[in-house]
Amino acid sequence: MSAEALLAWARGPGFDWALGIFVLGMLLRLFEVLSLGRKPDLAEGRGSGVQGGLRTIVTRTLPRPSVFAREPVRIINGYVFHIGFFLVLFFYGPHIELFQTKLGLSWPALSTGIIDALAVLTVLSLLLALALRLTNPVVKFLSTSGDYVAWLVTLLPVLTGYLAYNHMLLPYTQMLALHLLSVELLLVVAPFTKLTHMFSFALARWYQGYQAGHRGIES
Amino acid sequence: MSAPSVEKGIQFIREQIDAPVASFFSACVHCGLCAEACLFYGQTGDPRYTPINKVEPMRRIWEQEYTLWGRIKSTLGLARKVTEKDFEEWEPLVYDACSLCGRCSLVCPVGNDISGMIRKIREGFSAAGYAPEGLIGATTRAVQIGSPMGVKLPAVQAQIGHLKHDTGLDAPLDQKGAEYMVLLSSMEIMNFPEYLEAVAKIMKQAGKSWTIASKAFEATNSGIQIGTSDIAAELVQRVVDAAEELGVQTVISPECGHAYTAIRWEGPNLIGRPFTFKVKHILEVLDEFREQGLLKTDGMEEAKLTFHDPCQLVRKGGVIKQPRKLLNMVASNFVEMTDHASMNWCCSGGGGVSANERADEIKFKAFRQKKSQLDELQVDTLVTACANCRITLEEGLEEYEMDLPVVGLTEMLADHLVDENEEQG
Amino acid sequence: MNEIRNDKDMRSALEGLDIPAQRVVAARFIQNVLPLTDDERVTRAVETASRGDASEDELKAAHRAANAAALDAHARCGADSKWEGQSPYFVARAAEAATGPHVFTAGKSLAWAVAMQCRMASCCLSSADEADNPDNTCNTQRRILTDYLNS
Repeated sequence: MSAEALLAWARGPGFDWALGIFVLGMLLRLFEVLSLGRKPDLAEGRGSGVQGGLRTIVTRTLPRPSVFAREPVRIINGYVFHIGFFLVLFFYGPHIELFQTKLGLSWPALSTGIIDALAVLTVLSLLLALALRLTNPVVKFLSTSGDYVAWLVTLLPVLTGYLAYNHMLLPYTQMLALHLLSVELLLVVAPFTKLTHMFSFALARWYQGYQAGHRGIES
Repeated sequence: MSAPSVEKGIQFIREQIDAPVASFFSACVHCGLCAEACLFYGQTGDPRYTPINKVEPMRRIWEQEYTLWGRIKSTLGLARKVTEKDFEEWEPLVYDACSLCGRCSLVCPVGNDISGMIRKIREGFSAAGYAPEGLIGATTRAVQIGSPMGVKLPAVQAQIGHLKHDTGLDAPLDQKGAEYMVLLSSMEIMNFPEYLEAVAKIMKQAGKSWTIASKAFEATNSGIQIGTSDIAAELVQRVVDAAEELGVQTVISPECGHAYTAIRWEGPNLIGRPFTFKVKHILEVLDEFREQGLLKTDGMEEAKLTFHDPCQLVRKGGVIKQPRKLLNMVASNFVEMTDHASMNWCCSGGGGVSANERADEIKFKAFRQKKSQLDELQVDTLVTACANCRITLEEGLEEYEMDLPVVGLTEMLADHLVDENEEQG
Repeated sequence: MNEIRNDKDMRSALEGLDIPAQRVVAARFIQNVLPLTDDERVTRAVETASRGDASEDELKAAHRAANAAALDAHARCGADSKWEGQSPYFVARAAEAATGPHVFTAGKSLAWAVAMQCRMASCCLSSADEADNPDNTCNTQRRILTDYLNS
């Protein structure tokens, strides 16, 4: 298959299939969680569960000072690759055009110079994250193959995107095809790994926050 | 109750998996920050004590049975089923190296209530017969005798008699229509009877009617600690029956950590219906009295002191401001630990750990966390509001040769009450 | 002739004594219930308190020993315990209070705190009609104090 044909497939049916699997997969994961249900809390409450749930979704984004003091590098690095990935994904011109095509939405882009720098930062941050995962005794102990797969499928799109944009490593058409294929890999794999956390984090924070809000305790 | 078995254990764990638990396992990214919040990990460096690892058997059951990918892996024979060996290996992690303190739940970046899951997984472990001997004994005694420590009514009656004789204070038994029904923990009855005197004194000054139920004076709920909801429910039901029979408005949970959690949060859910009365911790009640101007105190302690926050009361109970407001009534030199209130560290003996002799060694290691907090502050006295914390703190202080008196807050307040009644003895 | 007839008098009389004197009286209260324990550490701690001239270091060592004795004798959380067997614990607590730093200024005076612990130690073993016994712990304590004040 020629590079052009591969690229055309990756841009077309490949992407649609991958997106479809991503959406269905994530919906399935959501259903798997919600369908288990939760018993109502019969204990007298002091406050609002809803307020607690919503508040916790926001406030858990920031670490507790005493925990931050113990692992500042790992925590800051976590923010860096999350924010970097998010900005590159949503604020690069050609990506916004894709969203425009698929969802009819559009918004201002960041300059390509900034995106380029962010991509580098994100790749380096992800490499550091891997190094930290391998050297921290707790994290290494907890890690499974799923963690390394998730890491790889997250790294590849950012890396290949950077290489494609900068016309590095392979001819542009091939590199772009690889980039799209890596995105499709991420989309297809995500629902079956811990990457589900991109949605389930809100559920988890909500559930604990709801109980905390109802009880009037901190969360 | 049918005999324990591994199948039963797995079934019980399965039944504990609800939407929140599933969301927690789905959201966990193996960041390991929960370990940084855990005193057992922090003071031993053993990664197995990472909180989320303590519920790994539950995670496997969840993945294999409640996720598509997990079911596929199971069918292909790629899943590691939970076996008896896992129960054996995880028992010390679930019971010895965890006091259900809840600090991990507060720091998880994705919002997982890990300590809640450890509480849940204990249901499976106790059903499988894999629970510490000390807790099994305590629970059996609680059901059969009414107290996990075998304390019977005559002991309570003796103390009530002593109270009347030596102080003139009344502690009425089975008083119908009293506003408050006071529960006592066996630890308090046996080791800190000053608590009863303090309550009597305070109630008298506040002019409130109160009583102790002869059929349900025990506050401690061993069922919660071992993780057997049937038993926990039975113990709660006794209190509920007595409270409703006596027609009291509020049941007061004493200075005992898990007693509060058991009756305040788990109680109605265990017995399947809301209570018809209120449940408050003694400090909540005392603070209400303070707000209503019913507590008249005299004098301030100038000794430098700090407050150890009992986990179940403060972090998990939300009774944060009250001990501080009460302490400030009688202490002029109260300093906070750096990690205080909801972020304070467990005494190391909660959640059944102090009842589990096998856990003594790790408990003393974990205590070094509290020690470091105290070393930093250099106070003259340590105040707390939980009988189990008190003994655990004292034992830890003794182990590390630290001279530091530990006192109970209710007792301290009572000591400062203005003596209105001149007739005594 | 001062006679201590009731607890109100007892408390104010004790509060009027300085700390070293309180320790001496406290030691006598404990000696009255000492047969209820066989822990040597408690006996030695009481002996230290009974000497009005014990040094700070001696008191500190005695306090630590008494505290250790109390912790050894305490009813362990969740363990099978007997109220009747708690006397040694309360006697040890009394010894702890008698030798300990008197950190708090309000409420129970040092000697009163000791007196109450001693009464609790007897309480474990007493029957319902103890209150009428002229030789019960309360009356004995008042006699001890009376004798001390008049000596």
